[in-house]
Amino acid sequence: MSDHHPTGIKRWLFTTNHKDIGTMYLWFSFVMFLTGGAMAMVIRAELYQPGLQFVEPAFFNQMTTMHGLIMVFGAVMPSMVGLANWLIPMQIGAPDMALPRMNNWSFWILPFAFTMLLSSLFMEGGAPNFGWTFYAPLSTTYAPPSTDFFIFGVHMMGISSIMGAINVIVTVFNMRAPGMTLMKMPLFVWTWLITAFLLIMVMPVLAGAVTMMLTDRHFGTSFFDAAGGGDPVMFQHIFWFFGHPEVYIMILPAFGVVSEIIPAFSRKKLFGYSSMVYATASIALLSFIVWAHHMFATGMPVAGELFFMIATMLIAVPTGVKIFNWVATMWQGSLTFETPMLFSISFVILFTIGGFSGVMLAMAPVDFQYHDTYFVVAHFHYVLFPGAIFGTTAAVYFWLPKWTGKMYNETLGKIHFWMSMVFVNLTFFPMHFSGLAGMPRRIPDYNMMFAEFNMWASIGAFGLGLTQIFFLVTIIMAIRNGKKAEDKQWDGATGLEWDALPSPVPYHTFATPPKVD
Amino acid sequence: MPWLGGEGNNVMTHALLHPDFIPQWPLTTTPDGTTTEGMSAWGLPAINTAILLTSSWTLTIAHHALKENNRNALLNYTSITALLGIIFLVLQAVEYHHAYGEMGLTLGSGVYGSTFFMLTGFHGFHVTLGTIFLIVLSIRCSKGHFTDKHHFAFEAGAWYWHFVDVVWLFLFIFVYLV
Amino acid sequence: MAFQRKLVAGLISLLGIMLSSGLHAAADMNMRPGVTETSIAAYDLHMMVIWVMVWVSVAVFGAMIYSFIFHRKSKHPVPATFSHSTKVEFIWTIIPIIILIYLTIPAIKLLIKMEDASDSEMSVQVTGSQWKWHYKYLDQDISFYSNLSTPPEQYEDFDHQGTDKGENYLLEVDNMVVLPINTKIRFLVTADDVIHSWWVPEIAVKKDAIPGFINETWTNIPTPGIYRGQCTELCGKNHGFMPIVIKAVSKADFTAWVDTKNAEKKAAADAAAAAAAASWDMDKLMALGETTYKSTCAGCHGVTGEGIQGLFPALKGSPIATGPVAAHMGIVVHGPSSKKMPAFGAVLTDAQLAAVITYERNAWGNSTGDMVQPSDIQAFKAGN
Ligand code: HEA
Ligand code: HEA
Ligand code: HEC
Ligand code: CUA
Ligand SMILES: [Cu+2]
Repeated sequence: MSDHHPTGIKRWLFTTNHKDIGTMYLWFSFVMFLTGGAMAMVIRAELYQPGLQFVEPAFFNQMTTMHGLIMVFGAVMPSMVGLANWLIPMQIGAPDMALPRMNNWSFWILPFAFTMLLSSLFMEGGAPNFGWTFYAPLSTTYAPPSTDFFIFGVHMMGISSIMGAINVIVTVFNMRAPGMTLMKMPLFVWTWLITAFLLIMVMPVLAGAVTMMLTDRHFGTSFFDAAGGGDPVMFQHIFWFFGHPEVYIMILPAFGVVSEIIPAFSRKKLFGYSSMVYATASIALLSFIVWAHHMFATGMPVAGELFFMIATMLIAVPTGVKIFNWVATMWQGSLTFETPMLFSISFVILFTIGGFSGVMLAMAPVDFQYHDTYFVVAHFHYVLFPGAIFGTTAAVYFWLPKWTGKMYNETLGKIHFWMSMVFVNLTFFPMHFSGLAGMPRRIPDYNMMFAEFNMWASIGAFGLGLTQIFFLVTIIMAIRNGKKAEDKQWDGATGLEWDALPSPVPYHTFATPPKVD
Repeated sequence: MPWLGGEGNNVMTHALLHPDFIPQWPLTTTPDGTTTEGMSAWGLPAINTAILLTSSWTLTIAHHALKENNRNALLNYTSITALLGIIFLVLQAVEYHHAYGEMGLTLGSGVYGSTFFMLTGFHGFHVTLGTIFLIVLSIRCSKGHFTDKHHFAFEAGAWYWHFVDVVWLFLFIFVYLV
Repeated sequence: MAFQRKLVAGLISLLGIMLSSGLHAAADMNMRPGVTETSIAAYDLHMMVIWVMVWVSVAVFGAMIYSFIFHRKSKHPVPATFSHSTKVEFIWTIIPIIILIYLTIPAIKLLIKMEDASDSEMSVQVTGSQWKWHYKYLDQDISFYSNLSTPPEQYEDFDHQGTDKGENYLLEVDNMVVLPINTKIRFLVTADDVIHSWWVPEIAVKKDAIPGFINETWTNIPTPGIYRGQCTELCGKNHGFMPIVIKAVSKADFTAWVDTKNAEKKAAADAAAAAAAASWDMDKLMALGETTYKSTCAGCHGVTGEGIQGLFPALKGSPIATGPVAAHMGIVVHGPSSKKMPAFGAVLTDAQLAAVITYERNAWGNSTGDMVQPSDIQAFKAGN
């Protein structure tokens, strides 16, 4: 079969090819990452010193909100779907995703959803300003008119995510090559399969929450209003029932990526494959019964607080299993430290630090002191930036030779890594201190006692911003005039994509399924 | 809602903020004093339950007829099911009219009204979709699109209809009876 | 490789700088132990977790670093082939469980204690509203609002000239919450509009203030002093500007404070009655109106009455502020039907209400020429 494909804009608009769609997802998410990052730059510029220097408090809140929303829904989630599109068919020996036309839809909905969301910045009253958690009634009665655009945007992203998830599930269950049993699937496929189930479970809940917001705003219902017998805290329960699984949606695929890369550069099989699968599944199951750890201060009954505290702390056990398995994979391996490996290693270390602060937050009586301070901000950036973002970055370096047939420049890659490593810590580590010292989150101005930490964080953030531009340049240079990559670029890599396919992969692969023994 | 009435650790909520509030379901008087009436289960809703149950039954007959290649029965029973769907919707419209016009039960009359209309409304929306499916299926039956082996569209439509029906049973219990 | 080594060196020295600068501010690096029994217990628990985490880190990262050094390809060219071991996997499932149990037990005890507000000796109702706190001493029959007292000149620095900031910049208020020491005090926390959260780190009390609900929490402060905190739930534009200041005093001083407060209350009521009875001239109304407007209304509607499009309507040229007086009084006294703005009828005195309405009708080019007298407000309130 020839490697024929349409060209021009139509190739991208109407494509049903999993590789094209994967590419579009990845570029889209990178654009969103820069957009959300630019908003973070505004936040950090304002917080560089005490006093209001650049933006009004009202606009600051919009920046915080949009930064969170765009990073979570625009940068991290699509990047994971992009990786899924590229890798799952190749890794299970399928010619494409199972529902290719739906695949096209689930991508093309996103640009519209985010245009709608971003356009709210230019509307009367400004963009949504109630935080990415949009607690009622600030997001209902007291919200700016643009909130309706936000609501429809969330609906659209939700539809996109659900379609993407259905596609993954159907593909994994029906399109595996002969011999590819479930327990032979690469871990990345496993983590995504479980993530897809999480998505299908929780995205409708989010849709329900925003729909109730919509009717509360416009049709006089009182779901979240005590005056009508409703309850604003019910909003939080619904939101976090979505929101907590959501954070694992963002991290599980990254776990999968790291589970592919560490064995490759340790030249040793992944330690404890089956316990990895079970650990991932346990994390996913537990994630449904811990949501109220975000709500310890809302005045829940003590019994509820105890339950959620203990359930949350339990998650450390399966996550620990994963960390230990990675360490054991490296143990007595034959390690080399190419860029993807460097990112994966720092993923393990920094994610663990973020996980530790998570366990601290889970302890309800102390969480009263941490809650809604920069300590929480430090926690989630440690699990999200060196977690989800480093995971994706590692994946890009690792599979770029396979996708494009070109190698990136190892020196530039290493510089990128070390810059990221330095600046990520410089940005987010001081936030632990400012949080402990008592600085609340989502404030545009603060007392002088927090000044020093904020200055360091801002300097780190600007460096981190520059680093991302550096990353972009590195990747473009690789695609433009990188060295030709070998079919099996990494000697320790395993899996169908390395063993059964050339680099770059042809447009159509596995027209006849490979046999897996 | 019971929390507004002082349940759990909310004794002071009740004592200081809503001393006159009586937590009961259906909530006929909200904390801010909007009043309304609860919808009784034994008028139209009971009839509607019967209608939907019958419709599930007629659809099953149609399905069996299809498998036995009995075209007449298939067409008749599919159309009857669609008709029952339409009747259900009409009765629901009558119910809503009554609620808004005479009972003062509206979307805006506290959580009871909110949940009542959101749940039954979304269900009604699904019934509308299902009815449209059924009408299309009836037309396709009359054109002879389906055979005893080859009728995925029919099966899918039937699943959908049964699903909508089961949801109604839950609604009947939780919205009207409880 | 050389550049890499330099980078590592750079990284280490940067971390060094960070740490040393942190140590400068050492007092602020860690959580503050605070002054109450519970806050100290929370601090101890916090330190305990930190140390556990440090030891787990040493073990996990230690093993990793050992691998980096001794199992790198140049040192260890032939990788081992093991890929699982039920025994170690079992061990490293059990050990974290044990660690977690060790952490959970004191946490449960402390939590139960912190949530038990029974047997309190006095109660204070704390109400958050955009963007101030209201305190009501249920047993002493005192109530007052507490606003940020840092003037805007200190924080507005859009022209980058820098401003002189006081020591308690953004953490100071006009009316402190005065509390007696060695007394179990129950706080009943609620809100008028959106969710706020009442947090004072030094007594380890943080409770969300939820409109329509009352949350209970408590403290018992052993040492006199001033303790500062902030609102910690995003509550709109000025969320960063609604501090909390507690002043803990001896029981005797507290009784004295209650007496002065009560005396003040009476004097204020008398003065208000006198003011309301008097007939005011335009200048006087405008002067009082301006101060009232700036302290109470400008936070939303802006000093120049231009509001924020889409969020807070402009009063400059607004149909209500230039139309019939009754509608204007209605909105200010009872609040709008949308509840987006609080009702001020019980917050301000009749004279202030009259003055602020007059001010709004005559400032910024709203030259209706109307004068509203305190007696008009009284009549309006009586008529409803
Ligand atoms: C990728 C995203 C991600 C991930 C993976 C996690 C992981 C965890 N999170 Fe985090 N979290 C967020 C994203 C994430 N979180 C976000 C975005 C918020 C803020 C939302 C908002 O308010 O805006 C938040 C907030 C948040 C809170 C609420 C804080 C507050 O508002 O007061 C809590 C409280 O319990 C918490 C806990 C945890 C725990 C226990 C884990 C655990 O899964 C961590 C488990 C990992 C480890 C523990 C490390 C490895 C384990 C070992 C090496 C074994 C040995 C360890 C022990 C024995 C302890 N998180
Ligand atoms: C994956 C998610 C993710 C990621 C990657 C980030 C990345 C960053 N975040 Fe993020 N953050 C969140 C998720 C994330 N954040 C969430 C969920 C919240 C909570 C929101 C809420 O409270 O509701 C939050 C809140 C939050 C706050 C708290 C705000 C507040 O409470 O008021 C701060 C403050 O410093 C911050 C900083 C940063 C910085 C400096 C980065 C840096 O890593 C960014 C790196 C920089 C770039 C990527 C920029 C590169 C681009 C340029 C230099 C300009 C180029 C220009 C154009 C293309 C136009 N974030
Ligand atoms: C917490 C914010 C807030 C504060 C403080 C506030 N307002 Fe308002 N005000 C609003 C909002 C929001 C509206 C719009 C209400 C609506 O349209 O339903 C409004 C509307 C009004 C209107 C009607 C304007 C119009 O054209 O619709 C008047 C008059 C008014 N306010 C006067 C005052 C006065 C006088 C004060 C101070 C004593 C004050 N406001 C303080 C938020 C506030
Ligand atoms: Cu009040 Cu934040
Ligand atoms: Cu969570």
